[in-house]
Amino acid sequence: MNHLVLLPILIPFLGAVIALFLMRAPRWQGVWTLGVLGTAVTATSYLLWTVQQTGEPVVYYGGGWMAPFGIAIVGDLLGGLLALMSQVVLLLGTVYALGAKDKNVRYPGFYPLFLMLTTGLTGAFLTGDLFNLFVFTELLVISGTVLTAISDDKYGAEAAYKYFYISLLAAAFLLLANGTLYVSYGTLNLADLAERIAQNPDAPLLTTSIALLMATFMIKSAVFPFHFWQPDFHTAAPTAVSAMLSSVVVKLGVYGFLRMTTLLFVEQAALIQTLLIVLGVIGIFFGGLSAIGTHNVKRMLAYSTLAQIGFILVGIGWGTPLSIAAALVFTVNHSLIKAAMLMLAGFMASRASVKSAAFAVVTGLGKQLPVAGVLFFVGALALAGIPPTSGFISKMLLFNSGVEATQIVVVGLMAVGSLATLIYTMRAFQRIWWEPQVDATIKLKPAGDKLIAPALLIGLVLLLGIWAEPLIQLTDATTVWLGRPDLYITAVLGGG
Amino acid sequence: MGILSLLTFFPLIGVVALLIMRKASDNALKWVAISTAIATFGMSLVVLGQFETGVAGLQLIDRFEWIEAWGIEYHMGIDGISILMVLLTTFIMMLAIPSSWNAISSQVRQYYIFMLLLEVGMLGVFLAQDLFLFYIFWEFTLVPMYFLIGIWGGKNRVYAAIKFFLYTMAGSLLMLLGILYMGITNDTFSLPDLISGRAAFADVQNWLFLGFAIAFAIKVPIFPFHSWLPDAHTEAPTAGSVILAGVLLKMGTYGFIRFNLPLFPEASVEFAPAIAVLAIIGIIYGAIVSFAQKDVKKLVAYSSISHLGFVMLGIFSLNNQGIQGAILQGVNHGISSGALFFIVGVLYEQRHTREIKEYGGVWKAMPVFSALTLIVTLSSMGLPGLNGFVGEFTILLGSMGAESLGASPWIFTAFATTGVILAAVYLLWMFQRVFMGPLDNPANEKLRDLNSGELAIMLSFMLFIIWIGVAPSGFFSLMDGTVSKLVADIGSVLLAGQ
Repeated sequence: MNHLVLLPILIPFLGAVIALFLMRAPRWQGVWTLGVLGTAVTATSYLLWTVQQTGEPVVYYGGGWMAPFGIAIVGDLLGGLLALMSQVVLLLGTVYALGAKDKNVRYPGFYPLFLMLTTGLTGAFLTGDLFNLFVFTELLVISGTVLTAISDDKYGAEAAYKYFYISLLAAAFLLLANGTLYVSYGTLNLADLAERIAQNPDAPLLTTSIALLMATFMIKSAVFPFHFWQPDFHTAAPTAVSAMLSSVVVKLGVYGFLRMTTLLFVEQAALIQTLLIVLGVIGIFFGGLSAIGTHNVKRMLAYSTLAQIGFILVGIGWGTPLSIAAALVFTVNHSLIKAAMLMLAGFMASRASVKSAAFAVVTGLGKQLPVAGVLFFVGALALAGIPPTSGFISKMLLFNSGVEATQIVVVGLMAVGSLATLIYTMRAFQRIWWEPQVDATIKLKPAGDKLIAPALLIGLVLLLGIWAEPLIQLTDATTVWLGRPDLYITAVLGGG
Repeated sequence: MGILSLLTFFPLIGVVALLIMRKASDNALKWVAISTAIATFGMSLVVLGQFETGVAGLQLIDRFEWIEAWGIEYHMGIDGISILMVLLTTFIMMLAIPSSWNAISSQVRQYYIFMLLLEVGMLGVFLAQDLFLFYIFWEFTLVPMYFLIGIWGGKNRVYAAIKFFLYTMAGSLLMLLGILYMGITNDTFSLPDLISGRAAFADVQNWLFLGFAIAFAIKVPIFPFHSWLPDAHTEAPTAGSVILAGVLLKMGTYGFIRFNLPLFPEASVEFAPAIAVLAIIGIIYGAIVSFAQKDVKKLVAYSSISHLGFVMLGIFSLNNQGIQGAILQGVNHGISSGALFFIVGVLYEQRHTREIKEYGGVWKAMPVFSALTLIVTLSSMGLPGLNGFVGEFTILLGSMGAESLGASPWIFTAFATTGVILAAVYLLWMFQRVFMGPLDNPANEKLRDLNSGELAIMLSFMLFIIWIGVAPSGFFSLMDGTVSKLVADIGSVLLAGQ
């Protein structure tokens, strides 16, 4: 029973190992990866379902040692929800990679690395231990770096370097946070830490640890001012990868902030939350305005992620049950929307004469790509939060929680920020589908990437816009669960 | 599923048919769209048949839980305020769709899909009784209109499309915040429940009023929120302008009557003089700017600002004549300026210019067309015996006796009346320059008169121009019950304030 929580991590891990043996048959490797991720999604769904039914997290203790001595893997509602979200998007990422014309998806290491990325991300969401968080994050970083370095884009290697170095910095912060917390409290188990921090909030290094963890997660979610590597990285990565990076991988920091404010540092949360609101608003404006000024669809979407993460941070920062639920809905919906949009940008680049999503190249191409146009427009509406898409539900819930928390000024700023989203998405849409081609003699390539994956994602976006109830219920339950850190601690440490 | 939901989503059948008919000819697609629009109009007549006049509250209600966790309902209903708007929507749509027969030659399928989607959105706006549902329909109307302007519009279409989209979005965000606030204080988004529980947000009702008012003011548009309108109207294809002027602008005035007045009565009373002043400015400003236009379509567009000033003045007279006049004038403006945009379209299709100086003496080439245009022009300037007169007269009467407009409301009436005179000036002058005089531009000699389709559309407009002008009582009796109750409700507030 308790081994159930291992499956979401072990399935992609073993899948990656086996995929290595299929190196000579990249096609089969891809199909295998699809099967592995499909199985992983099923397992994670079952895990989440079990957790929701029993109301108890599923905890696995490594080596049979009880926490805090053994390494704990904890499948609670938050971890399970984010893991499922990530794996669904990663599954569709594989679908996209299978239909992609890129050279890099034929690279023998592509699919094993993709599965390692899945392992790292899932593990980071499900681990109950700060050191393991470090390990899984490193796994994620290494896979992400290589996946970007092999990009067809000539800036791939440069972007990969940037990402790797900034991630080293994040790793250093995280390791130092591990160290300072261990010195102060003698444990790295999250539940145990939470309990001990609550009992002894005056440890001299506590503030340092909080600052270090903040910095780590800010880098992970590319929060201003640690964002500078992100647009390069998300633009240069292969489409199938950048669609993952800018949607689910950036949510690692969001997850971290949620754990910090609702579990580890409940007493100290007020300051963190204020900071998150400020950073969020800066992100909304900085990201939104930068996105308006970009010359490349992918880059625009990367900056848009900055802004959208800003919305989520503000939700976490308000810290009310409504706002946290809204932030979670926003997190899930943004992952689906952004993945779809990046895939569409990649699709256009794959059909363009020069493989690029720069406006100079893709302007006017839309006339010949009507299906992509419909998908892109719905995605644009969703990003800007216009009904009947899931993006509207996110925006509505977030504004609602802000009004409830009487944060009218911030809500007003967010409303202005959401107009910026509308401006850049519509401008991109108009350029690609309405404006004439820059050079009409240039012909489209007859075939490019397949549209199945973004079409499925946009379908989900519409479905979650009209039938929002299940996701809202799930995030409500998650929020109630996050409001009871004592239950998390008891569940992991057993009796207390 | 009740009749109202059926009516609202009925055009979707046409949309599906258009999507399925992959290999059909353009003409077949046009017929599908036209028959859908006619059938939808027929259904709205069925609704009219089932509608009980004199009842104040909502009728034919369709209501169930939608997102239970957030108290959001699917709630449709109709009353005296919406019935005329619904009929106007289906009527104008039924005329606008065939009017594009020749004008739209590219991407025909998409064009009619967007037209029918727009109809769904507009009907939903007028029938939704849950604020969340209303907001969704409200936003949804933007999308098809954005495409209608952006793809099939004139030279500057892309600019006009995004301007239209952004302006309306900016306004509706404020409304969204207002809706959310009331949802939190009252745990419901249902309009009737919010009205009965309005005490819960009475303390901030001035702010909420402003949030809603700005959203609606942009839509109407009230001076100084009007600057998107000339662009959108001029760049939109003919049918788009017809719908924009005919129905979409009425969503704004409807919003004031449906939401602002009953939800925030004290604030309505408080802001009434200010809005009436803006309405007067709009009336005179719109008229003067119309006077200066060299482009017929722009002239008609600016005249909308002036005419909708009357509607706003009527609404914020906050009495029975004022509001009933405003609703009827909304319908009248829909018919008259819808017809005027159609007329401009007929000329533009043949001459591909809208410059007034390019025309002159058109009567000689197109006598039937010109005669009918004269009637429409006279209706637009409010000649007795035609529909415009009834609406404007009732509004002026209402404003004259408006307690909400301070001690001497007649000043407002006096200023508004100048608008009637100005309308006569700019409309007749336009008519004179385009239709009268010698036929001295050789390009105009080849103009052909109306074909049977165009004639049918013009005669349909004509029917209501004269019907409302001669026998308006049937139209007033449709709204009387609801408006009287609304006015009584506000009246008690006015009394309490004194």
